[in-house]
Parts: sequence; C-alpha cells; structure tokens
Amino acid sequence: MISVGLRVAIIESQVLFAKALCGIFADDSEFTVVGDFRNPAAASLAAARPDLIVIDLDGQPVDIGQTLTTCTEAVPNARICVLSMHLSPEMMQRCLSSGAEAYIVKDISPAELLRAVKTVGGGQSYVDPRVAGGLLRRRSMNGGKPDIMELSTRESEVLKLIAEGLANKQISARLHLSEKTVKNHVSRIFSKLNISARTQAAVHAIRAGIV
Amino acid sequence: MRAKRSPERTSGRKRALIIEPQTLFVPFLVQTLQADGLVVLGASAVPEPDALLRLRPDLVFIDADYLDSPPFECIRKLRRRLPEARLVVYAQRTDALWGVVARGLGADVVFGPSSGIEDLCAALQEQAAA
Repeated sequence: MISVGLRVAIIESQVLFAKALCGIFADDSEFTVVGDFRNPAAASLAAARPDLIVIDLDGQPVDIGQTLTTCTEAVPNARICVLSMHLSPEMMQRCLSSGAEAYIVKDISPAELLRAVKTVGGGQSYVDPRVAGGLLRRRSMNGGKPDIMELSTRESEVLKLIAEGLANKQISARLHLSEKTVKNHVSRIFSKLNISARTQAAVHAIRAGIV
Repeated sequence: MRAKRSPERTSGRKRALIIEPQTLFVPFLVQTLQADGLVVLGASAVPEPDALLRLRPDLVFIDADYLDSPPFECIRKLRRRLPEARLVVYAQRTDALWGVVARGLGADVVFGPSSGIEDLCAALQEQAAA
C-alpha cells in the first residue's frame, strides 16, 4: 500500500486514548498513521520514519526534556507536536526548548487538533494562544528579556558547569559529550540568553538559582 | 420528571453521561458508548454538570484525571446524587489502592492506562446490563 500525506506517529501512554488519536488522524486523508507507541522507544520510532510525532506528555514517566530528546534523536527531521492538559507557560517553554514545534492543550476538538498539526506539518509552529499569552506576560514582566526556562535540559546542565568555572573541554568530559557538541550548546545558550560572555552566563545561572 | 418521558427512557435503552475534561477525546467516547447501545445524554468537562445530572443517567463515564476537584470527592458526590447509576471510572493511576478507595466511594468499575477499548466495552456492557 502506498502511503499518502504526512506520516504521523502517535505516542500515547494510555491505550484507550491512543485508539482515539489514531482514529482522528486516520479519518483525515492528509495523514497516514505510521506508528502507535506507548512511549518514545527510539528504535521503533526511527523505523516508522514519521514526518510528524504527536506525543501526549501526560502520563509519560520520564522528564519532558529526556522524552523529547529521545524523539528528536530517533527522527531528527520529524516535527514534534506535544499534547498536554497543562495550561502552563513553563511547561510549554520547556517543550519548545527541547525540540517541540507545537504545544497543544487537549481541551479542544479533534478538528482543532487537526488544524494545529497541519499548521506544523506546513512548516510553521503552533502554541495554544492561552499559554502563549502567559509566556508573553512573563517576558514583559522580565523587561522583555528571555529567561532560563528557555534552555533545554542539556543546555541548563552546560550552563551550570559554565557557572562553576569549567572550560568546554572539562564540560565535555563531565557530560560525556564531544567538545564540538559542548561548543554548540554554549553558542545556543548565548543566543537564547542574548549574552556574549561566560561571566554573563554565570550571572544568569546564579540569578536563576541553578548553581 | 421530563427525562422519564423521553423516547430513550421509554425505549428501554440505557442513558449515559460522559465527564471528560480532555474534550479532544469526547467524540471517541460518545461513539464508543453509542456503539454499545447506550444513549449519550451529553458530555461535560466539569465534575458536576447539574443540568445533565438532573436527567438521571443510568451510567456515568468519569475520567478522574484533570478534574477541577479531587477525583475521590467527585466520585463520592456523584454516588450521592445518583445512587442508582453505574459509575465507570477511568484514571491514569495504576496502583491497586487507588482503585480500592474509588470503589469504596461508589465506583462500580475502575480501569486505567493499560486498558483498551475492549476493556471499556466489556465494562460498559456489564454495567449497562446490571
């Protein structure tokens, strides 16, 4: 059988609702469901070769960052849509920082879900407007400056070690990463926090209480 | 007693109410309940939808997660308001103790994240026949 449309993998820990999600996407001719998983097992996900991963984070037993990292590492080109029941700017920020392209709250209709996922499939991002409003308000209260929540789990680890005074080589040894990967993380941290020096990074880390 | 005069009541088909804050899944649940021969009176995201409860459903499907009040409190209140109704409770909680407490407060069936549509259908059929 030749598959058509966007290839979607569903990750839903609850069997009953996995059936519901698969049905929603299977009923739309623009999608082909290529996987139905209870958790983001990297090998299975990679084998399904999805264009889009729709993951319900509620009920996933591990940390958000780790869960999404497993997805991005398994299928680097797939776009990730997170489903959640939490109207939380912090959680949304953590998801987006960890590689998600969408943050969708589950108190919507199936038609709205399909619209949101098609937006992401078309190359754009989607966030629940109610949660995005909270994030913008927080940014506004912070004088328009980005905050530490915008960093991924790994970037937060790197920032902590920067603040402890470690050089890239030492960080790479500590985290078992290549020095080039550490350099990339540092560069992204600088970009996200809009800073240009390790001392400024350390100040951010201290203010955020991560050291 | 308007509900008693409704065609569904006189036809003998059992009438169900869905309490599900994740509205994304409501059409699926409606479809599942209807396929099992139940008449769905409505669905609500709040734990105590007064207007729907006044219709005296025979069966209530409750997703105990994400309610805006504690799940046990919700089960207890529903049991008090609908002493004759069958309460089918779904929860992400997997520990047995949670199920024991929920049953003690009035749930007739408790099932969780590893349960599939077959389990739900079996529970619905069993409870509708009770």
